[in-house]
Amino acid sequence: MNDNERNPLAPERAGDGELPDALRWQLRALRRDQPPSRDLWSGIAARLGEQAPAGHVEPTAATADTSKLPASVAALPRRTGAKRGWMAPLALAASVAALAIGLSAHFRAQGPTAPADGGYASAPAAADKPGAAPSLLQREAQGMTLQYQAALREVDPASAASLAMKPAFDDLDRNAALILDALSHNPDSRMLLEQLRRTYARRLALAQRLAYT
Amino acid sequence: MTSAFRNRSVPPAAALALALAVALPAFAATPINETRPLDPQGSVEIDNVKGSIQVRVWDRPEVKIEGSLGDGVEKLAIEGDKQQISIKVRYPNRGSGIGFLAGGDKSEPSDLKVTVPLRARLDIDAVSASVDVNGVASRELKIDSVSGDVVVAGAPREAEIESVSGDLNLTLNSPKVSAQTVSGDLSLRGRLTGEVAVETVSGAVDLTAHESSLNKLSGESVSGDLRIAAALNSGGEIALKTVSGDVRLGLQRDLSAVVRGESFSGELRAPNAQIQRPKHGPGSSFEQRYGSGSGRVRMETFSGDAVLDLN
Repeated sequence: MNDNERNPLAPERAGDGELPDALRWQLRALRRDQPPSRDLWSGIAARLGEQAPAGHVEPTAATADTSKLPASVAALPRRTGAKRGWMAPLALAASVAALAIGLSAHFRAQGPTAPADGGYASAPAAADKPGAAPSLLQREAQGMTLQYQAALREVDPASAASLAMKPAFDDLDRNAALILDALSHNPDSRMLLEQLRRTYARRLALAQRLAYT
Repeated sequence: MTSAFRNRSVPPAAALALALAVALPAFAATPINETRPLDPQGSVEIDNVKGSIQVRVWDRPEVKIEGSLGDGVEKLAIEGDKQQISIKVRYPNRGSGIGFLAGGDKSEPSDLKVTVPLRARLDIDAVSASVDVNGVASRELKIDSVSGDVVVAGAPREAEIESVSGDLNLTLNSPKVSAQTVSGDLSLRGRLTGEVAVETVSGAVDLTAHESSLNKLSGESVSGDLRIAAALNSGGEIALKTVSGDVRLGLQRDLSAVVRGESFSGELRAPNAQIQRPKHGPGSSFEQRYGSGSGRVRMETFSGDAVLDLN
């Protein structure tokens, strides 16, 4: 069994504590993947079209709406299809993105500046550019998001303390979401990646300070 | 009638007396009046979670500690020697740090007024306590707050001041300043002659350097605006970065620097600069040389506007 066949199982283990390690390996596996020799998007788009309910639009640059998460949501059931072998890399990318979205949504309060759906990181950008793999910086941002969120789960402070500092945590989360959203539009911005790192570092530092002092 | 009157009047009086007896300890505050010797350039560490910390200076080789300890506080711990003094308000069964928030804290705020030698080095830790420091001219001033506001007027050689949601209102004549907040606003003014680093997440930054010019300035924010009015030395560097916050940079009319601006969707503006926009896709940028171009200025945003003014 290759890595790609194992990877779609990871989301099912999201709640059992094995996630950070599993995701690390998944992300590493992603980096080893070779791009397909031909354009696979036309076939994917056709199949998505077959499965999509009436009125569902394909995620093109003009129609992509991050609030609908079209690529992630539509792709997940396809993992059980007959063509799982060649779909696996894309399903993996979608599942990792969906997982990142789910995890981050857990940490983020929905504020006025936060995307209403949590649709950030590479998923919207991938929808903007059908067939395009996430940029190196986007993959770094995804990995960073997951790593920091795993770390935050470890040090998440007691509820009373969390409550007292909730506005500050919410503000940091809103701004992290803002940066991730910006990265989905400008995926090659090192400035945004650095800002994201700083924002996560601040959040982790605050959580650690709350938990350990 | 009399006994009836007594019967009616005594219970309220007794209730009042009882209420006072119960209420007094809750409002009781233990006064503080302590003095310790300290070398004129010694170090003072002050730690108070809530209430206030006020620092003033004098020319005596002593530290005077006044104010009041709130009810429920375990003690005021004063430790150290003539080189270094630590003044900490201690709470029962928990640390003195931010973690007190987790303990369902019921203690009353403590107010500290500390008078230190003019050049004493200061390290202040607060959580929700407000911090007010006036007149210090130490080698180093370090303040760390969480939600309390911080007001400083002084001339430390180096200042490092941080807060989370509290506002920073700083008037400093200093060659090296670093100030950070998360959501608190940051106001910094004074004769700023060397290096300044300001950073917020969503708080606004308002920096004005008077009668001075900087060698290096870095400003970063995610959604907070950066408003800077300063002068740049020959060969100096400025780097301002935001995601959605606006950047307003005002520099001297005879600026000598190469200024670069870059934004994904924000508006860029600078005197005489031609804004470049790619034929396809978003983004804009410019590079403009002023004077002999000895310094370097960079403004970078994602969606915020970035404007340079030369006055």
